[in-house]
Amino acid sequence: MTRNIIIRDDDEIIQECLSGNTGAYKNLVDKYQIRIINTCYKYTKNINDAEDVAQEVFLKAFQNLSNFKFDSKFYSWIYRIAVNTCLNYINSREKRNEKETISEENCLNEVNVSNDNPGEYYQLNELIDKIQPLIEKLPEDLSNLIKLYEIKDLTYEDISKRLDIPIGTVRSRLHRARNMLISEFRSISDDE
Amino acid sequence: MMNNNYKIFGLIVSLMRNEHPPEISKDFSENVMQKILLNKKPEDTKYNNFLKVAASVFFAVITAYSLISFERSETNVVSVDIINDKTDNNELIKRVKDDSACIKIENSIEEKNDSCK
Repeated sequence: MTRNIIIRDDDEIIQECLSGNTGAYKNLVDKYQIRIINTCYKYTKNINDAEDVAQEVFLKAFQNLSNFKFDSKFYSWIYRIAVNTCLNYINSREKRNEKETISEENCLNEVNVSNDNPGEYYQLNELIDKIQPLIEKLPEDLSNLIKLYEIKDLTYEDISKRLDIPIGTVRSRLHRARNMLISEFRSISDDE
Repeated sequence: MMNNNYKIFGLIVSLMRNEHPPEISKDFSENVMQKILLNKKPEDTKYNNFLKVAASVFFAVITAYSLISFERSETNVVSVDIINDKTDNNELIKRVKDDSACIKIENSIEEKNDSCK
């Protein structure tokens, strides 16, 4: 049986941050840290540098949270901040080294993995095989919904129009899908 | 393993999207929050600075008020002296004026007498 787990919408969390609860921002950091670090990793090609840059990205995003327009997704907004911060980082690093011109494309090749303290890190590659069965376990309507929202980045309104269901239903079904995924993930990680 | 719902959900979505680095440090979000709180401190010091400025303005006003009231009391003393001086002077002037008036009267009487002759 699935427990009722509350994963609030990004907009709700942002509103809470803007009303003075800084701690609520940790939910956004927790939710997007892997994807933002991954974006930075593509540019820096080093996990330690990627985490440093990602820290800067989250800090910048927090400081500019009042400029966030609620008509777009938070991830799209922070992704742009991440790309710009990475380009600045690469340019300043290159200036220090060889003053080589950097473009967005030529940064995305060659990736090095280097880490001295494996105990302090989550090894994410080991988890990939465990995730796919979780999604397959979901009922088809919920699995489709989560794919549309989280992978294809559609909004509630877009999904509502596409599936011809009310926005409220989209929200409640997504909530149920998230609950089920988290509960299933907890159960497999508790088993180990 | 990760025990936070947001962390777990973020992990699931990033793995679904195949957008993840090979590894990430366990305390990344805690470090970010520490950095944010450290950077937030200047706002508190701004508030403290405001308090300091307000306090100094308050003391400046009180000092200015007490100085002004002290000066007023001194001016009163001085002004009394001046008034006394003035009255003295006025009396002297009066005397001088009065004297000249007498002389004038005397002169006019003498002139009258001369004309009668």
